[in-house]
Amino acid sequence: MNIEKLNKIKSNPAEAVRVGFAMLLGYLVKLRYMTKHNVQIGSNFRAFSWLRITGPGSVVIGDRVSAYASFLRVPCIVTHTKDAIVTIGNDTNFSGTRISCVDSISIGHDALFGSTTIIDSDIIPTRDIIIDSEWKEKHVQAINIGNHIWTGVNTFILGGVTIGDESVLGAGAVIQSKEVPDRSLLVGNPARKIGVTRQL
Amino acid sequence: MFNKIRTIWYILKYQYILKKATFGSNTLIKCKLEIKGSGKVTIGSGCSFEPDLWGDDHVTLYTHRPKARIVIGNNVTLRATRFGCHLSILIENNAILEYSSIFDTDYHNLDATKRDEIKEGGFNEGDRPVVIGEGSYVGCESLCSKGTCLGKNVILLPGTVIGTKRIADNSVISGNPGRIIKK
Repeated sequence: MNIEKLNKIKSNPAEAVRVGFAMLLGYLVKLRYMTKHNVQIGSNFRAFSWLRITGPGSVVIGDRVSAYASFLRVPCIVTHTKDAIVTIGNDTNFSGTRISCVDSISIGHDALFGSTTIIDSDIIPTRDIIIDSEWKEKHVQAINIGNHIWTGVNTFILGGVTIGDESVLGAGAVIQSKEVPDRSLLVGNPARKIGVTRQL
Repeated sequence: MFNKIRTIWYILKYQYILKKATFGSNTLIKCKLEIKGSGKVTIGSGCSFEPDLWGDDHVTLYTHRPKARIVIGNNVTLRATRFGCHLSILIENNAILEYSSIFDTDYHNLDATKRDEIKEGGFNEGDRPVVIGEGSYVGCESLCSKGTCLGKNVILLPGTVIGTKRIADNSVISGNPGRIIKK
């Protein structure tokens, strides 16, 4: 252990204890999903709340990811088919984020999520719906989210969305089938661009 | 097994003891169900009451007036949907309703001096019945206010807010206020 880390712990011991417990719960989450071959969780996973992963699709989570609960919502990832792929980059923060995936959802590095709902299909499939290629073509579009994203409270990211790097989604924004350039500030339902987050 | 016991318990409670609702055959209840108020609820055959995909598990059917009616057709899926009814709410066959709110009233008068009084007949002037058409889909956290009338196979995307509007068949709606984005 290096001196910098030791000084950090000495300056704020309560936070250090919290992080320690989160690391412990993170190991428990890893242990829970160890037997499932479709779930991969990277190193230094910090779980400040439980993380629920269900469904047959593959889920890949990067290194140094932390999961929080917000508004009593536990972060939750649901995949509906075997071909579904959810990839989450390094250093991402989840708080109460809910993901429903039929086709593919990819999230970049260092993202900061509020209680966001991410759904890549118009209709969340029930047991009666048969998911074939025709249904997929009609209702499903993939989602690509860039690096250094920040989303606010109660935001929705729906099918067919591509968000560029360093963008910010304001609280209550709903974005659907849209391509957004880098460094844009989005608000409203339906979401529109009102400015940039950083001047180059 | 547990769900079957729960279904029998809820049917016993609401159909035979409290006499607030009538259930059709093959109903399956997998979540908490709450029916309150003085109105009547009619549920068709083959309906299923499920928790939300991410864990919310309360279906609430509230009727606030003696003449209020909630009618649910056959093979309807309710996933943690919340209802508030003063007049009438009709959900036709094969509809799917996510974690959303549906109500047919403003609950209070717009005039501040009359806000606390309850009318003898039971209805405010602003109340309009709500109809969700056959095979429609109401997305999660969307809100169908008074006077919503959806046609057949309409898709309401998540986060939509809609009221006092007639929507044609086979359209896709999104936004606040809800607009047609596809036909």
